[in-house]
Parts: sequence; structure tokens; C-alpha cells
Amino acid sequence: MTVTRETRPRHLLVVLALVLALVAAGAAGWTGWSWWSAAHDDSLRYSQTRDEVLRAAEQAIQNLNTLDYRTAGSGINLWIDSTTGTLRDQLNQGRQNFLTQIQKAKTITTAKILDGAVTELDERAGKASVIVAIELTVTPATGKPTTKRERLAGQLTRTGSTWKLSSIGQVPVSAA
Amino acid sequence: MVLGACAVVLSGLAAWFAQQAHQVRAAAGTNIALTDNAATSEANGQVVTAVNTLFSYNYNDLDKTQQAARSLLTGKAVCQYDQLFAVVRQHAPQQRLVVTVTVTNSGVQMLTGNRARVLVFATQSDTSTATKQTSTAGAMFAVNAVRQDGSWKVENIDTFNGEARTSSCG
Repeated sequence: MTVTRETRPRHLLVVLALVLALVAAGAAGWTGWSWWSAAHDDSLRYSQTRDEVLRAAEQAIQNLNTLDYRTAGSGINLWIDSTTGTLRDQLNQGRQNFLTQIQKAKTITTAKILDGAVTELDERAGKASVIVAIELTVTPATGKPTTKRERLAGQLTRTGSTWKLSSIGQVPVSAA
Repeated sequence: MVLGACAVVLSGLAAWFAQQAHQVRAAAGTNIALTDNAATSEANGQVVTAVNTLFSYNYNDLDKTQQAARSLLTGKAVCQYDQLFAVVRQHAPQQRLVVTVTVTNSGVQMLTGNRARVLVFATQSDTSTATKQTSTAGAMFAVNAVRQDGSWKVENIDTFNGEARTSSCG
């Protein structure tokens, strides 16, 4: 009799631990599935890619519209780093020319992104289109800085795991 | 002992998985711009049509534009538009002005169930039939829109000039 009296509480503890372990296993299974499904959810992934494309586009456009004649070499390298395809080739070819021009003009250009939106995104092809509104401030060697706004439309191409600008241009004011 | 340890470890895992799942979903947010194609093009299309309608007018028939505007505006934009149109009513007849606004580019930046933000590039063409001169200019702004009774209405127009410029419209 004394033996059963000792084992009964132990027995209860074991049952309790088993129940807890099962509940925890169930919770882990459920939340694990929830994580897996979130990570593999196509529209969530697409949504993340869209945000990533906009971030990359705004950063690249900011880079391409920033240049200080005192650090022009690294500035132009950053332009080239932000781009791919023919745009990159053009910048590479024009590198020396840009350097000569900027060092002669002694200007400092900075850009502020006002707003931007992704207009198209083809995840499979790794292509995207964006429109971005920017404000440029150009400080000449002498005189006051001037600001102007530009309406830009660009295309991005995925290169490896990052998105880079493959084309960029001002949206023309077309006669309606 | 082993079962107890199992329970503790599994609870820990459950908490971690839950947090990871939450992070993945939060990072993507609730923005369905482009992920839901039909909803995105509906919002985009209606905002574009609204902008074209709201800012195009003929000095000869200003009432037409202002009446059409009523069903396209809501909230703060009603007041913003009234202020703008008061100026139009002063100047348009004098110069016999015909203004056509055409959206050339637009992108839905944010879209949730009933709210959207759309970046818009537009061409504004002003023709003064008094002087027979036409001038064309480009515009950029962002439209905040809300969906009411099944259609998108303009709630605010952001011209990127900061809040100070929004005058007396709360």
C-alpha cells in the first residue's frame, strides 16, 4: 500500500508533463507551420520584393543624382555600382568625360527623394518599373544654390540578389 | 523530467516560430499594391480619372467641373478643392481659360482594404482663348484616396510642400 501512495503523485506528475509536452508540441507544430506558410506565401513574398525594389530604386536614383566635384571619382563609381546593363555601360564609357566636366564646373549636386512608386514588377523575369519624384539642389562654385524638381521613370533589373537601375529618364511634358 | 524538458523546449520553439511568422508578415505589411492586380488597377484607374476630371475645366462651364467634383472628393480635399476653385472662378473667365489635365504616369504606392496612395505625374495644358496662347507644364503630386460606397474618392493631395502650405483646411 505504501508503494502505491508514493507512486500516485509521481504518476500524476508524469501525466501532467505529458499533457504539457503534447500541448507544447501542438503549439510548436502550429506556429511552425504558420512561419513556413508565411515565408512561402507567394503574395507576401511578392509584396516584400515590391518594397525591396522601391528601396533599391530610390537609393540608386539618389546616388545617380548626387555628385560633389571634390569627391567626383567615388561619386561616379557609386553611379556605376547602382546600375546595370546598357546604362552601366554608358556611365562607364562616359566616366572620364563626367569627371572632366564636373571638375571644371565645380558644382555640388544633392538629391532628395520626394516620393516613389513601383508601377510594374515581374518577379520571374527580374524586371520592374518605377516612377520617382525628386528635388535636386545644385550648388555652383559661386552664387546661390538652385533647386528644381524632376519627374523620373526608371527600370530595374535583378542582378544576383540585388536590384539595379537599367534605365532612367525624365518624364517629358507631352502636349496633351 | 524528460517530458518536462520537452514541454519547455517545445514551448520555446512555439514562441520563436510565432515571432518569426509575425515578423515575416509584418515586413510585408498589409500593403497589397501590385500583389492584388485587380484591386490595384481599380484604385489606380479611378484616381487617374478623378484627377483628370477635377483639374480640367472650361471657363464657359465651370459648374460642370465643380459638380463632377462633388462625387470624387471627400474629407479635407473638399475644402482644398473649394479654395482652389474659388481662384479658378476669379481668373478663368477673364482669360477665357480652358485647362486640360492628363495623367501621364501613375503608380499605386500603398493599398490596403479601403485606403490608397497614388503617385501621379500629369501634363497640364492651359489655353487662353482670349490670347490664343497655350502653355504646357508638368505636375507631380501624390493622392491619398479612400474607398467609400464602392468607389475611390480623393481625400488629400500632397504636393510635397510640407504641411505648412495646406492653408486653413484642417
